Amino acid sequence: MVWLPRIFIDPGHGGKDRTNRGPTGYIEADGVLDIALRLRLLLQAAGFLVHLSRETDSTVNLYDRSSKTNNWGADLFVSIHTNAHPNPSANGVEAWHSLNGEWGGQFHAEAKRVANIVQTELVARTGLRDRGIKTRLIETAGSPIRGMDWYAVIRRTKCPAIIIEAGFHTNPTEEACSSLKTISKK
Amino acid sequence: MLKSQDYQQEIADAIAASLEKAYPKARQERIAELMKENKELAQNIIQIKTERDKLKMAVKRIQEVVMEFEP
Repeated sequence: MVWLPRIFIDPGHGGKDRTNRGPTGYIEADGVLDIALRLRLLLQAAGFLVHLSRETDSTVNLYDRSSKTNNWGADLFVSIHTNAHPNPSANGVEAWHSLNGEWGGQFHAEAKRVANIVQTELVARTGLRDRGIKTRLIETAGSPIRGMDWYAVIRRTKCPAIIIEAGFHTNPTEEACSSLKTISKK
Repeated sequence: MLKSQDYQQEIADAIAASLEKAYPKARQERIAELMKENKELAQNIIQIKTERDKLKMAVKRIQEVVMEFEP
């Protein structure tokens, strides 16, 4: 039996959730959907089985994103986002990976391994600042999910899961520069 | 840059390349699967051609028999 990796791609936001925008008009929901649709073609050509949480500008809530991933039996969950910060000088790319989700820590090592590879490639290709790979756990005292992954989509997925933050849309330079090479040379 | 389609393609390329690195056997497995499918298709075509030739022979034989009984 041939095993083909099943990659679930999750373009963040969309539909009713279109509030994340850059200062010169970039809309995160549209930007990450564009990346996801391009990525699907590349991965299919490379032999992966691919499924998207959304293929249009539609609303998909966080729990549905995880449920779809689990129902499909994904081997890897990849959520694509662009970053935001009140300080417009914040910049760079980063990848988050699951550490301790609702299924325990069984996917931690694989998620970290993949996040490392993705982060290295993103930095090499874009020339943007390397913000590293990260994890974040819920620290709220008394919370029944204290100690679990902060981000719901990677906490609830039953497979290794990563979130890619492909630059800051709140940084005017990263948002508005028309050429990747212009940035890379800086 | 985030608005640039070149950048979005670059990000997609980077993620795809990294996942190919993470799962290096994916492409080979897919090629192997396609070759297996192609082999099965080739065998089916050969089988269909064999059956077609048999039918042609049968039709020819029927025509010969009919000719024998024609005045």
